[in-house]
Parts: sequence; C-alpha cells; structure tokens
Amino acid sequence: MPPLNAPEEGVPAAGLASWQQDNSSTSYASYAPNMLSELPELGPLPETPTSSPPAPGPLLSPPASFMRTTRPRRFSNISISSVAATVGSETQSACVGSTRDLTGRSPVLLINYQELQYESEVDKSLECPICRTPFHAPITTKPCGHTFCSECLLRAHQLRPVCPIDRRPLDVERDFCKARVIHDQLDRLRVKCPSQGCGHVCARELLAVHYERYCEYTPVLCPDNSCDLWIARQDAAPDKGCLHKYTPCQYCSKQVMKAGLEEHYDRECSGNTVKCAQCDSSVVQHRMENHVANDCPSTVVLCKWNKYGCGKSAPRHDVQAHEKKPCIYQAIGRLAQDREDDRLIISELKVRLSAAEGRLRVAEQEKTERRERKRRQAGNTNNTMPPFVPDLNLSNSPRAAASYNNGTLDSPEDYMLAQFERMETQMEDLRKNIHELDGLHSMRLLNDTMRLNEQIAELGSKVGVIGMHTTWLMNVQRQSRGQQRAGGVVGSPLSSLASSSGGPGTTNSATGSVTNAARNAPDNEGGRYYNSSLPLRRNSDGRGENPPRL
Amino acid sequence: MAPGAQFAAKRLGKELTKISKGLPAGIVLVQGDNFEEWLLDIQVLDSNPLYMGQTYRLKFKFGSSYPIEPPEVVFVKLPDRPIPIHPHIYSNGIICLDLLGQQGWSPVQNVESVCMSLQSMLTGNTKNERPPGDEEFVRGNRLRPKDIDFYYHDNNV
Repeated sequence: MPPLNAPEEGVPAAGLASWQQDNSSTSYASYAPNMLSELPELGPLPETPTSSPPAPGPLLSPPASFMRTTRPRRFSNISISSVAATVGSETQSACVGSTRDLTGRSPVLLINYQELQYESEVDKSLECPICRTPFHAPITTKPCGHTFCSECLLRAHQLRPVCPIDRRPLDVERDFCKARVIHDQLDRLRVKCPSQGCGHVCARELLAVHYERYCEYTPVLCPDNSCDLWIARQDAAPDKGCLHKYTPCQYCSKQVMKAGLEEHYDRECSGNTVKCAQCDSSVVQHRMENHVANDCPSTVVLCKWNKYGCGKSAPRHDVQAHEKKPCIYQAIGRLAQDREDDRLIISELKVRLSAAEGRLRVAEQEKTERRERKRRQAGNTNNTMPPFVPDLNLSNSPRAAASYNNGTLDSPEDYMLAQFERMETQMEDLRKNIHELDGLHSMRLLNDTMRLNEQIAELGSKVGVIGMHTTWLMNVQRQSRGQQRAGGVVGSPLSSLASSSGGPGTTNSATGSVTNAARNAPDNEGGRYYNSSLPLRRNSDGRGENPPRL
Repeated sequence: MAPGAQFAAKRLGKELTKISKGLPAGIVLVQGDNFEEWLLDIQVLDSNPLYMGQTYRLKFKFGSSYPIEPPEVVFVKLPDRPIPIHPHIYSNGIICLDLLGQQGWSPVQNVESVCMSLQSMLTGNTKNERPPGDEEFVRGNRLRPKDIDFYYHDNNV
C-alpha cells in the first residue's frame, strides 16, 4: 500500500486546533531526542505480507508476531516518563482535561472523540486499529502508510517508537503526517452531541463549536470555586450556587446532590410518588401538574382542532386516537394554519415592500431635485426663478400606522423597525428640503436686494443731477441780477438769456433767434441745445453757465 | 475511573460487540462481563496429536492502559481444562510469547488476534515438552507474567 501523500503543513479550519496542537512539530520535537536516543538497534523489519494496513484483520500474521529478538529490550523509565510529560498531558486531557472557551465562560469538559455516537454506521476502514473507533485527527505514517488517531498513535509511540501494525521504526518528527483526506471525510460524518440530554446532531467538524459554545447540557465546571465537579451549563448559573452540595430529599430524607435530584426521584427515591387520580399511574408529586397538563391519558382534553370547529372533548388517549383517525376538522385546521403562515409571510413582505417604497421615493426625489437644480442653474443666467414647491409629503406615517392597526405588522418590533426606517427617510427628505429652501431664499434675497440697490443708486444719481440743475439755475439767476444791478454789459448771449428772467422753460420772446431755437427744441433735448448752440464750458464748481445734462 | 480506563473500556466494549457477532472456529468466549478479566476457551482444530480433542482455558487480564499495553494472558488449569504442553508454556499456565510482552505487543492486536496466535503457536508445535527449567520456575516464580523478563530465543515456534 503506497503511503498517503498528504501535504505537509498549513491545515485548516475550525475544530482542528487540538489536532494541530497534538501533532505540531514542536511537541514532537520536544520529545523526539529522547526517543531517538532510545531507539533500539533494530533494523527495518520486513513488512508483513498479508496485513492490509488500516484494518488489521483478526489474522495477525505469525512472522511478525512470533518474531524473536535475541535480547530483551526495555526502555528506561526516564524516556517514557519524559515523553509522558510532554505528550501525556494532551492525551489525558482528552478524557478529563478542561479548556477555557473563547467567551471566557467556565471551562467545559473536553469532548472524548472515542465516545462519540455516530448517526449512521461508519465504514470499518475508517476506524483506528488501536481504539477501533472512527479516526479522530488521523495521522498517517510516511514509510508504511498506516493511519491511526493521533492520540492513539502517540500513546503507542511513547511505549515503542514503531508502527503498531508492521513495526517499522518511526520517528515522530519525520515519519508522521496528517491524513487530510480521511480527516475531511470523517469530519463530515454526523454525530450526536455527547452531552447528556442534548439530542443535537451535526457534522463532526461543527460539534466542537456546538458543544463548547451553545449546548446547554455541556458539562462545565461548577460555578462554585471550591467545587471541582462538572455541571450541565444550563444549571451552572452563579446565582444557583453549587448544586453539588448534599441536601436531604424532600420525600425520603436521603442525602442527594441537588444536581442529581431529578435522577434520584426517577431511580431510587421511594415514597415520593402519588397515584394520579385519573390514570392510576404513579407520578412524582411535584410533577403531577405537568403530568395532568401534558401526559395523563385519562385527563379530559379538547381535540387540537377545536378552534376550527371540532367539539370533541374526551380523555387524552381517546382524543389522541381521534386526532389520528383523523379528525374531520383536520383539513380545515391545516388550511387555517396554512393561512396563518401565509399571513405571516404576507405581513413580512408588506414590511419589506414599504421599506423598498421608501427607498424608491427617496431615490426619485433625489432625481427630481437634481433635475431641478440643473434647470435652476440654467435659469439663473436668465435671472428667472423657477417656482419651487417643497415636497413635504408626510403621508407615509399615517399609512404605516394604519397598517399596524390593521394587523398587517405582527410584532411591535417589526412595526418599530418599519417606523424607524420611515422616520429616517423622512428626516432625510426634510433635511434636503430645508437645504433647498435655504439656498432658494438666499438667492431670492440676493436678487431682490440687487435690484433695490440698483434703483437706489439710480435715484441717488438723479437727485445729484437735480441738485446740480438747481445750483446752475441759482447761479444764472444771481448773475443776471448782478448784471441788472450793474446796468451793464449788453450783447452777450449769456446776458440776453439771463435777462429773460428764468430757465430755459420760462424765456420770454424778447431775445433773439437763439432763444427761439431753444424753445422749439423739445424739453429733454435742452442739454444738447445748450451744448451745441452755446459753446460754453460747464464749470465744475457749479458756477458754469451751462446746466448739467440729465 | 482512571483516564486510561475509560479508553480501555471503550475499546473492550467494541471488541465485545465484534465478538458477539462471531468468533473464528475454535475460540469461544466464556466470560466477558466486565472490562478487567475475560475467560476464553480455545481448541486446536487440526490433527496435531498433542492437542487433539482438548480444550484450553485462557484468562485475559486487562490493565487500564490496554490496548497500548498488552493484556496479561495465561492458561488456567481446571479439571477439564489442562495446561497445553508446549516448550514455551510453563506448567503453571504462564506463556512465554513475545507478542504478550512489552516488546512484541502492538496496540492493534486484540483478544481475538491473541487467541489466534496462540492457536497457531500450538498447531505448529511438535515437541512434547515443557520449557527448560519449568519446575524451578513454577516453584520459584512469584512475579506476574508481565514482570518476567523473558528471554525470547527461539524463532522457530
């Protein structure tokens, strides 16, 4: 048989920790030197011709078993005990050791893989030839290709460093390798949880997790520090205290551990039972209530389909027979149950639908907003403001509340979750709306004030112009008055204009052609008239004769 | 219960189940109701004149480290169960067989394979004699079989 070519290093997954620890090369190395020094001068023995390695049949071939050696060989106790010190701790721990699980809870009793019960018969070729149980953490010997549980092989190897089947000398470090294929194959087998009372069945590789973490029946160390006994995890609450203290049984005054009380009632306690008034069976006193409620065959109960119309009411065993017959209301009952299941599913779907709708609404809103924003950006160049209608649609909440009241949402948790989700989307909407409004307002404000500013500036400039006109007119008036007083110079067009006693609008007809022309021109053309017809400079001090143009 | 004892008990339980399904011809389990001591009867089936028609009683004693360590196997003398005559079997029932010593034992052996080995050891024997020094040994020996330092010298039987 060719040796199994299992790869060297780097295994794996969960559940292998102990195995890796077992055959990690460090632990081998620690005791290998001892073994090597004690290796007998025994050459490689001829392999037995008949044996098929993993399952040594009943016929252990005589050549090997009758092999004689010429001197008795014994190992010094030193080597064996030192080996035991390194490896033995692990092998023993498989039976009574303890480990602290990752959650830091009290240590649990380790799984004894040899004791496991497999759901189906395991192939004989997958059994370890030493312990005769399905391999646990199998190791294959490299020179001869025989496979054993690592624990079994290491134990046997402590005693004699040879292959248990064909007696080839084996070196722990060099000649062992994990039998990965077999390991994987075995880890898929379904096993029963080893905890008493737990009926859990799972693949073997998942057992460790179930057992160490979740199984309520796993033996853990007693919560009382002074007690080193094991107790099922479900009974190990610190407030219950140590259940290993002896207390007198309430019925027979025998001293019994609290943990074993129920078993005591079942097995040995006498005088604790009472006769059930209805079915004549004897029941432990404090279990009577439970017995009547669930077990007693004579108690009158209703058919389980009574909700759906069956009016049968009879002793339990009759009713059970009646239900098995089956009860004619069973069809309706099943239908109703199916409907209830459907309703559950529907309500769940409704919740999911409403959540999806909310999400969709948000997405749509975002889309329209994006479009709006784009339009607004385009519109801003025309200085036109798109009409903005904030979408403050809060119609979701009344609807959800209604759906809860209508009973479409079953648990308050679901309702709260749906509510919460909706609230969130609403908050998001509101936040967006507020942002939008904020931007809009500031834009409007800016636009409005800009217009006002412009108008104000315009008005300001107009006022300034009017002021200048007034000054000019006042000056003209003052000049003409001064000239009249002086009785002075005639003939200048300025003086003639001034003598007409007023501005351009109030000139009389006494003066010459220039004034006529001025009168013919429209009023607002007055500036041009002055400019073109009167080549006079406008004085910056306002004393100029030419009025500023508007 | 010692840690190893559980291991031994489990393994013996397995063997018992297998034995209950059937044993090879000439081997009968007489008593196997605990995990410490079993009694078996063996017969030699061929026509070896030394053992023909005889039944021998074997006693297996299992330690807590079985099957890592060998069981203690001896022939038991009863009115109808003699000790077979063989150059490696002392007249007090102690068997000198390396298979049963620390060196020859292998944990893959089991009760059934030991019985078969003994069967074949008897079958192959032609010498009608006890081991040399049988009388002194039987008189003087106070040791248990596993503590005796046998000197395995004979490769022919």
